[in-house]
Amino acid sequence: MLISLEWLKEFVDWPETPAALAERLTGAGLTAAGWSGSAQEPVLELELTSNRPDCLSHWGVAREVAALARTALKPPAGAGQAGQPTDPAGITVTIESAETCARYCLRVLDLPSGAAARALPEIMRARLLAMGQAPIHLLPDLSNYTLFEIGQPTHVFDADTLRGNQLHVRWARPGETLITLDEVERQLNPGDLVIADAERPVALAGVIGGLETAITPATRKIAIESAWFEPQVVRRSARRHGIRTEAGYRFERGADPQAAAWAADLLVSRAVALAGAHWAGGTDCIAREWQAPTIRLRAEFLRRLLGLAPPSDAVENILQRLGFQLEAQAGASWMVQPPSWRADVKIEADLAEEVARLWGYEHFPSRLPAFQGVVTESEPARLASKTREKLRGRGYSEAISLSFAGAAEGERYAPGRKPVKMMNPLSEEEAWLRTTLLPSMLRLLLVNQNRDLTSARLFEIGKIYWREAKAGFPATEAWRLSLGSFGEVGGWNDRREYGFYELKGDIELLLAGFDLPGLEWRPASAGWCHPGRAAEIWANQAQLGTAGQLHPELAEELKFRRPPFLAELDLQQLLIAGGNQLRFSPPSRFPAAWRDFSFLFDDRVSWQSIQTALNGLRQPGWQGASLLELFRGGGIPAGQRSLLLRASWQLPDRTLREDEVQRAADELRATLAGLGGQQR
Amino acid sequence: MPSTADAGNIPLPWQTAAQPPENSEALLADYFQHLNEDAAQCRQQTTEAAAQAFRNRWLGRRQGILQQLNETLLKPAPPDWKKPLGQALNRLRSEAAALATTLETEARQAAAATRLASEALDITLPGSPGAGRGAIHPLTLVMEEIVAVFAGLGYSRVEGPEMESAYYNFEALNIPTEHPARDEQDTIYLGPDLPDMLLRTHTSPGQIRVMERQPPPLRVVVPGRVYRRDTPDASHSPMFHQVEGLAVDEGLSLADLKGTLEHFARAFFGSATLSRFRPSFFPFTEPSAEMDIQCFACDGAGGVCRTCKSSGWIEILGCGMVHPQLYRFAGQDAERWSGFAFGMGVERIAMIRYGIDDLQRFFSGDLRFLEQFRD
Repeated sequence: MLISLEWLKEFVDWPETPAALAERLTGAGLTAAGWSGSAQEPVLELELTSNRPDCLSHWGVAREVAALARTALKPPAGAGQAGQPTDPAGITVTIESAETCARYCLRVLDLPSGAAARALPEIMRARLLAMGQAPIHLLPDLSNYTLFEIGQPTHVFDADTLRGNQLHVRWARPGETLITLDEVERQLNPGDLVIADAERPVALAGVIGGLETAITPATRKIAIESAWFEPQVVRRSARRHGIRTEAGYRFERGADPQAAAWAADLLVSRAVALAGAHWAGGTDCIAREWQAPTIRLRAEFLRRLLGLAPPSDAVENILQRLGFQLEAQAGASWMVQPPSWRADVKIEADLAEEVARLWGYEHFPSRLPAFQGVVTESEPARLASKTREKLRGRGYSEAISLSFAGAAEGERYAPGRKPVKMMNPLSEEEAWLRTTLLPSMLRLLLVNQNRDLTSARLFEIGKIYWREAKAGFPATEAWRLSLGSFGEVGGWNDRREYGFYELKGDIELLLAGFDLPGLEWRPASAGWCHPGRAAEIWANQAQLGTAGQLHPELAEELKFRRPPFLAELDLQQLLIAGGNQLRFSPPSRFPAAWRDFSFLFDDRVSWQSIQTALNGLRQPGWQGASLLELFRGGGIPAGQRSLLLRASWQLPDRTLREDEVQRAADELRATLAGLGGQQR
Repeated sequence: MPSTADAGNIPLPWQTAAQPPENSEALLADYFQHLNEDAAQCRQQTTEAAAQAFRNRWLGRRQGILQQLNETLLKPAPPDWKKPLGQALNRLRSEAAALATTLETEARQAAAATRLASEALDITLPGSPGAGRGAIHPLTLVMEEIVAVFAGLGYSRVEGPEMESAYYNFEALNIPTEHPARDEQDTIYLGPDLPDMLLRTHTSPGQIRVMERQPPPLRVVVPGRVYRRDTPDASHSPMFHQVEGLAVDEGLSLADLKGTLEHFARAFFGSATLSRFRPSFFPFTEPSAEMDIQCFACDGAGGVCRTCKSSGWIEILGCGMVHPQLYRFAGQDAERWSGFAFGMGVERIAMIRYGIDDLQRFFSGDLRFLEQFRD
């Protein structure tokens, strides 16, 4: 809301500078958001919350200033009556539903010829311009002026275009249309409240008038409408037809039900004075009288809610300054009636807020409360933090990407997971919620490739969403972790290309922090994977995720210059598995024995099968076999590889004898040979 | 230089004097001089081999000079000359031994120094980077820190669904259909066959979900992603993050809200942080307020400050006393319990804290941005 201080001065005085006034209003909840206009005639922009439609005018802000500065209000000039509203207007008004329109005031005036050509007085013109309104025609300008002045919207019809000398406030009928002032033909909905003459709708109630009944330079008789419409009805119509008007903005937040006749008469007196109009009659059609609610306010409640109750006389004074009626009751309480313009005040807490904001929030005490309740640690959050720290240590940076996706992406990277669609997405290409994090990760990797980074390491912890009814929800969301990587790894002394084993090593390190018995890497068959360089990760008979190189054809299609590696893990599964239970076991005091073995194996003999066979020997003191080196090429035939592995043994209670180690090593050699290995 | 080979040509001491001299060392003055000259020469080479040769020359068991003197001088000496000669020889022996040890030590040290010098590295070369370039997302850093401040005050962390029902997102928060507050939160709806499901527009539904589930006293923070149908620009994104907080107990008042949030502002922005509360409006709190902190860029002076847009204050969160209606929605007694709620935008706070100019950077995935938050 723009407030011209020069205009505001017409209604109220205040003692301070403009800046101090702005500060004072901000402190009372009418946030000063900036200045425009000139230094001589500054215009203050107020950011108003949706509960304060009463401040959407100069008069409304003046009321607030008067209450804050404890100064007197000066009502607008020229509100004298030109005639009695009971004078026959020649037009009858009927209201179909009292719920939707509490009152409808009509004023009919004759216009002399040439009235439209009369100029708006300079001061009014300047004020309208300050409001961002270009003057158009004397009578609509006066109607606009009244709106910015006292906040009540009015509408001016060309009375000669109204058919049958009647106006009805009613619901639109099926098939009815209305060409509105913006020259758009609107198909009306039975939920639209309209003003209609004997034959057709002539205005969309509270939102916009009709073109056919608008005033023109030739208009010789006008009908002024000033009414109170139900906010929700106006809001629905305005939204349905996508029309935003100053009138609609005020009606849908709630106009002052007692201001309709006042605004009509104010406009009439100006039309008479400035346009030379003559009174021809009027009517106030009241479907429902406004009744102030009565709210009990207890001093004890103020103390309880605010931590301090201002003295009774201060409470009374504050509410009275704001236009509330109150009656003191026994036991330090009051029966309070809000003024007609404060429909937002409905309950005791609302009154407390009025008291608090005028007393000043800064005048209430401040304390740090004690707490007797239960505090719970979030295990998922702790494990997520641990995951972040581990990945960060491995060189991965955390990224966050939007949850939206295209339908085709989900089909390609998470086939079979039925996606959730958005009704009103920002873009039709991304009209779905993502069912996998992988497409987002690929986008992030490409962003970095295309900014000429030679390597990138990223991870994201985010949710995926899919159609599956669970726990009372028609759709399911679950945490996933994605990893993505390409390019060089290491420094000047150990540079190499990131590959599958780097990815696997990073994931192994991560998973080592969780309690995952039976962890196993199995060949993956997902369509996005390189057929020979990807794995499914399993534990506890459940798939934890998939990791591997992106299929080279996809990589080429996406224009990757280096092979990208990806993984997606089901974080929910990890959280269910939980963190490792750390338990101490004493290390042996006796020396370990170890032997190295070099064997040639066919590529088809997997490392896992070798490990399984060796572990299956259950040798006394067996500590396991580790891979020291893997050779290919050179003198080694194609399709084979040479493995250098180191086995070690250690007993908890004594030193192994040489002959025991020898026997164990012989058995191990025989087992390796049994797997098809040739000792080198 | 005298040598033992010449001993026969040189008259023996007792042949030139009747009495041994007072100072017995004078008997071997030439040998003392010779020892020192030899040591000086050896020192010029400073090799372990030279030091070893020195030791052998003087102290060798068979051919050492001292052994020879023993044979050629001490043994044939008359009885009254034996004592002073013996003393002089002992002095010469211990001096030679000391010199030999010193020369050996010096030679060893010199050799070690040479070897270490050859092992020197260019210590200005970069260290092995390993993998440690990773960074945690600034939004995570800020969100975790906010949660940690409240955790210190006994607030438990809870999370709620992002796909939310219109009931929890609006109705139960006292925002009925057609309420103008719904305009301010342009909502993304799900469907068409998911009636009344939407992407939560704020983390506030967490308030109701917690109150329904858990009887007071309670303190919770609800961090998470929220969604609004905003076109992306420097200060808007269709997805962003909030942290919601709620405290419900007997006797909580505006004073407790103020004290708690002032503590937060000092803990998060620094102990000297000044804050203020301005009346505001949220359908689910009454009274409601916005909390501002004094601008740290201009110290509240305003002027032409970009950080606070010249107002001297920076808005950081919305808050208020829980609206009585919410207790009813959650099946709690509004006369018995009172409490406060607050909510803050994580992006906004991260932008303020790190001086980030454009909200889109958070979601760009650009490592040149992300890696700046290596902590």
